[in-house]
Amino acid sequence: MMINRILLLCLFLLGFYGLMVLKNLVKKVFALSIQNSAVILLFIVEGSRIGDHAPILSEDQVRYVDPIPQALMLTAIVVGICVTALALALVYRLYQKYESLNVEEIQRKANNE
Amino acid sequence: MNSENLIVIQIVLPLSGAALCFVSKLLKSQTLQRLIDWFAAFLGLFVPLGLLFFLYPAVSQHPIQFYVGNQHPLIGIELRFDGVSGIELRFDGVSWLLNVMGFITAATSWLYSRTAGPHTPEFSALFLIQTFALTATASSADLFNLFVCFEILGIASYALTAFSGKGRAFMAAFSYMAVSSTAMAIFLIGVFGIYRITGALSYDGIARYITRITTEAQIVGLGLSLVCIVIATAVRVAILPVYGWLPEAHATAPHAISAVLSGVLIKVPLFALGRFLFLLMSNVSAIDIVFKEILDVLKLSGTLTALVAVIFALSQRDVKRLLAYHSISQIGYVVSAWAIASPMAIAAAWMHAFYHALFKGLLFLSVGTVIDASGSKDVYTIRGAYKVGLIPTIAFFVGALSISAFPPFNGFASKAAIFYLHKGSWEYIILSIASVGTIASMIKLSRMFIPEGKSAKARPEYNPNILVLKPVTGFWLKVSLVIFALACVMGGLFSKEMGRLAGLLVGTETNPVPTHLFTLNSIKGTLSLLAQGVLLYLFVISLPGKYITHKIETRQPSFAGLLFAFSLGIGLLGTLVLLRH
Repeated sequence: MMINRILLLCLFLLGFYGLMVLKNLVKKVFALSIQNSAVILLFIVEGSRIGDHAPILSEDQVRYVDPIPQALMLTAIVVGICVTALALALVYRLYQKYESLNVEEIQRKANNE
Repeated sequence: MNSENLIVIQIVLPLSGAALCFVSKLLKSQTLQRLIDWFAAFLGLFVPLGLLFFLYPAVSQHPIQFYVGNQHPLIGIELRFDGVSGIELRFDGVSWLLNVMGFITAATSWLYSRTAGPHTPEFSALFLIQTFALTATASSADLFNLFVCFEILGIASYALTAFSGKGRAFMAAFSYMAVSSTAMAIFLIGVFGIYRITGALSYDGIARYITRITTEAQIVGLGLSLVCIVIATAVRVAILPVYGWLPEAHATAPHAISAVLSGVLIKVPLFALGRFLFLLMSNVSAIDIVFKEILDVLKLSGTLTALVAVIFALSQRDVKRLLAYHSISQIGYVVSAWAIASPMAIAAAWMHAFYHALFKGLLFLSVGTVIDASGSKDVYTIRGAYKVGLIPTIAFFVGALSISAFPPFNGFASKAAIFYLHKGSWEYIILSIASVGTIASMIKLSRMFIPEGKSAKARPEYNPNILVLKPVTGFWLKVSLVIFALACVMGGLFSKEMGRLAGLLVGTETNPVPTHLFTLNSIKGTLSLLAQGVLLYLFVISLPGKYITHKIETRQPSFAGLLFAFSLGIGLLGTLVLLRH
């Protein structure tokens, strides 16, 4: 179980690193998405610890996964998509304006406006 | 109609208004489009204000708690463990107060946008969605629900920041979004931690389970989860060290949006967090000590924010950036009072938050009018701003006097309430120094109204086109300024009544506003602050002062810096909790 958590932490840090260090704006959006996925996976993985069956009520008692984290993550995924879509729209408008995706170049040009 | 329905209606109305705005885009006729826009805004911004009036008698008695969409647990999305599903809402005094602040500021700013723009239906729709998220945040009683509300609030505000269409605004919106989405991912991790340990997501459920926690491992786990939630919220509130995204976003947004962003959007998350934290704290449990530590850190951070941000504000040339840094400084005052966590402190914090929303709205809108008229944002270039008209000029000075805490304007009363709370502590000294800085920077801002002298034309950066200021016209622009200005004056004159109302709604009989408000002593204190402010201003425009402020002004946070500050904040607070246990 511990190895799962460590891998998820690595995934999250990877996203964080990408968001912080990469210069390309589109790559930054990907990094944001990776970061979000890491958290979603954390919920799903940890939610499955108490059982491994789909949470559908039936006659015989089986060990269900905890359904709440899954329900929550559905919402989180939708929110994540909205953020990604808006981010890409902003990047597109920035590209139209400055003809570059490099964040440093854009910031330099914007400050000279 | 019972109060539960009223609450749901006032939350849903802004959302229906937004839908109407989108529908109006389908129409060809411009007049019809505008009519529907007006109707939608009336429905979503003004009607809820009226509903709040009817809700007051019920809320002043006790909080109203209920479920929306109460389904069988297996059908609806189950948000609670104990058999009841649906979205839980808890409408208490704080929610009522936050809604009053939100709707008054939003409605008045929207009126301003009718003259100054943007006029498109999309703008009104996003504006209404943002208002919806504000009221939903103020009354949510469930951690995951809070997360969703924060995200809606965020997405609407990123888009609205970008609405001015300038390149800088797009970049500011992108940075804002990157930092705040990272913060929300951390927030989710915090929610996860709390769910794992307590098995509940609703505030009540968590409060019930938290008393059973005894083992050290659980306390540390819960403490770290709380740290995640608190720091993620702090990003939205914009206090040290995570305020870096704010100045650029608030400075580049359309003026009406700047007023709402600075006035309401940075405060509602703070009080929403307070509704959660203070509910848990009222339980006697082993975890209480962790709360105390976190709140102490927030108080320290808030107090320092008030001082540091005002130094930055004093160094700015761009008038809207100057005002944006002032918002950070004023939120520092609010946080420093809020973190004391007594009902009286929360009432005082709310009062300052509300009054700040009024005078900062007034300042952003009147300064925005001057910027639009002159075409410049540079405080050293704009001269003779009084030519834009009598109402914007008076409005600006009412706002400037309010933020500088001159009697009898509203800022005087709410700052007196906060100073009264801190009496005799080190925070008092720091906040007093910050007040001097506020006065000095307002003097700097007032330079725009100095008549244009002969020497201005001799200066090399003189641009003859900039100084041609015409009187502004526009009915709604003037109406919105008059509403804010009247609210500032009335808020000051009736501050004791406001204090009693706020106190009553957060559950205390004591009035946060000191009984002897307008005395000879307080006027003497104000005059001495004014003298210090003038001295500080003279230093800033002197040669060494100019050198220092220029150094500060050119220092702009980079993209990586914003994220670094965030991880620094979370690391420091996390280490503190780990070390103490």
